[in-house]
Amino acid sequence: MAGVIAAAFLWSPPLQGLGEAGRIFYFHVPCAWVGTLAFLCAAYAGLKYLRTRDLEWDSSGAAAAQVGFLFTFLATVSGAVWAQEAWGRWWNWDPRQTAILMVLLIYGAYFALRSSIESAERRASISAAYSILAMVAAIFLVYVAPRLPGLDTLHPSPVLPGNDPDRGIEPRILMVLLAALAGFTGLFAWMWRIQTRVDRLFLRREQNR
Amino acid sequence: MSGVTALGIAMLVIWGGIFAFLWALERRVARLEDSE
Repeated sequence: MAGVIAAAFLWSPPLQGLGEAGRIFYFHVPCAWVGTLAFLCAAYAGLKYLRTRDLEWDSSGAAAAQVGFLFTFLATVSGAVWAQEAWGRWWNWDPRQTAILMVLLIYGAYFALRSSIESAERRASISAAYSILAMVAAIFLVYVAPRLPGLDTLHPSPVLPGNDPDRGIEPRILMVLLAALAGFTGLFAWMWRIQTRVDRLFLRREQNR
Repeated sequence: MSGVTALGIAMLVIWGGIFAFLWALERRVARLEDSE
């Protein structure tokens, strides 16, 4: 991560049309990626719980959703900072911004739902089903809805900034982005593991009470 | 020092703090698991 930060600020050229502020790209995109990956992991853990009824999968799923929420929130904040620089306003109700806000609300409701159920087994079953449905909704909202015809978005489509049709992607930009994606994915794996262990400790204490 | 360099150094410090926090948290969790 130290290498990614150094490369993003010192080695990568400024992004075309975005200036120095465009460097937030190296943090915004990996945060959004990790958010999606984490929600996929939460849904996978939900499926595993429904098949095995092992509460440890419930802890894993809840931990993935918690870390995913954090990274999605960071993607929203970094996106707002970027929007202020690029579009002149922090929040524009752009389809992408609205979609990510809805995803945050959906997972906010997931945590509220979890905290409202006392029985560990019941909580795990309902959370597992919710996390699978929430993941489908999140994928639709973030990746499908903003591309529907008739919805004008200012958000760049999946074209890398600095992508000159004549010269291809600037190699340094691509390298730093890939390194950032790898670094953030590793960071997510670490945070997920720690949070899962914390959740399992809480679960054991709850069961011993 | 340019603004970009200063921001890069600030980010390094912030990320160093995040990693130190996570490392300390992992150690604390390991201790709690051992005491269970």
